[in-house]
Amino acid sequence: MLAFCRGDEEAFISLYRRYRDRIANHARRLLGDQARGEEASQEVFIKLYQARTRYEPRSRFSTFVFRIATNHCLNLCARLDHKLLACEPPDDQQVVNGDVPQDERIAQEQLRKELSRALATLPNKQRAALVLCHYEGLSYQEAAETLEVSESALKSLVFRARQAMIKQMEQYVIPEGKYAV
Amino acid sequence: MQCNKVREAISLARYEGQKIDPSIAQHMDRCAECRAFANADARLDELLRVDPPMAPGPGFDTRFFARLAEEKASRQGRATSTGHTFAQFARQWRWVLAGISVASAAALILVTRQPLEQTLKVNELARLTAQDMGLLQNLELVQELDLVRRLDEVETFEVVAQLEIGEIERAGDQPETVILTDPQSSAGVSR
Repeated sequence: MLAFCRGDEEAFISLYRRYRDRIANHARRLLGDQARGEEASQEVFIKLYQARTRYEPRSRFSTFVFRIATNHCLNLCARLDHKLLACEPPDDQQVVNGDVPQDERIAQEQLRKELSRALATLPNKQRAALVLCHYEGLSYQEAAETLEVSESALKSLVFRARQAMIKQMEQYVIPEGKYAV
Repeated sequence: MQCNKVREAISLARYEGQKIDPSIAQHMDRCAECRAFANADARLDELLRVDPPMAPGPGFDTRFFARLAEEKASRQGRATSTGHTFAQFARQWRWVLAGISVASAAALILVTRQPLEQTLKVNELARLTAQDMGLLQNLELVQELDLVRRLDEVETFEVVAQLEIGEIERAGDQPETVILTDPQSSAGVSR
């Protein structure tokens, strides 16, 4: 990023290629829709391009780019009035983790739809906290920096998100009996 | 210990790969619901892995680089906005400016010339014909033109330098152009 700030356009292209998939998936999960996620992720990279005049390396670059992406997506969520669609993956969508048997693939796609629906029901910040920690692998500290909240607040967000997800996915996570959430 | 705090501690400890506190373990031994939550929380981790990362759809890169090119062009446009504004102004007012430029050129010739009555000898004044008088009247009319008086305020020559040759030539064909001519002369002063 510093090279890009000094005028190296190829450095920006390298950043784009390195973070393209991660930002696109991050936006997809936050917005609950493949097309919206791709549109938003492209806007994130445009914002990143525009940010070169004011970028300061005060934290890790991944924290910086995910902050831009998360804020952008949460702003879009607010404009959508929380009306997130469940992710409906297109037939030609490529799964990066390789081939699986067809029966298992169908079951997985059904489960992914349920997961997407459950994620969409979460409040925006809870969803962002869960996605940052679980899917992007950020530590609590990094996720807190990204969301610009305290670490204790971030932990509370993650826990409440997980509680809500367990309730939404009850049929999958609680095969025997129930407990009081 | 409250069940809610125990469940939060269990969930967070699993994520960070930390061991749970002995007091929490003791609570778990006594509380079936918290044990059930711990199992559900672990199961949730497995389910979340079912949604692996996906590659963007076809054409993603193409669409992005097109947007990036637009952004770069927009930045360049903002950087040269001053020049573009001047060029737009010159193009919009080229007809008026062309007329002013021609009039100013003619007026410059006129105002630098000595007044006729100063150069003409007294005995020559008597030989002035009606046509000469008509020309004199036109010259006075040109000198009275408001635009001629405001020549100092209009940077016409600099503007003319910015205009394309064709635009200046086409300005002469505009119907709005008013030609003041000497009936005996083919040249004209236009405004």
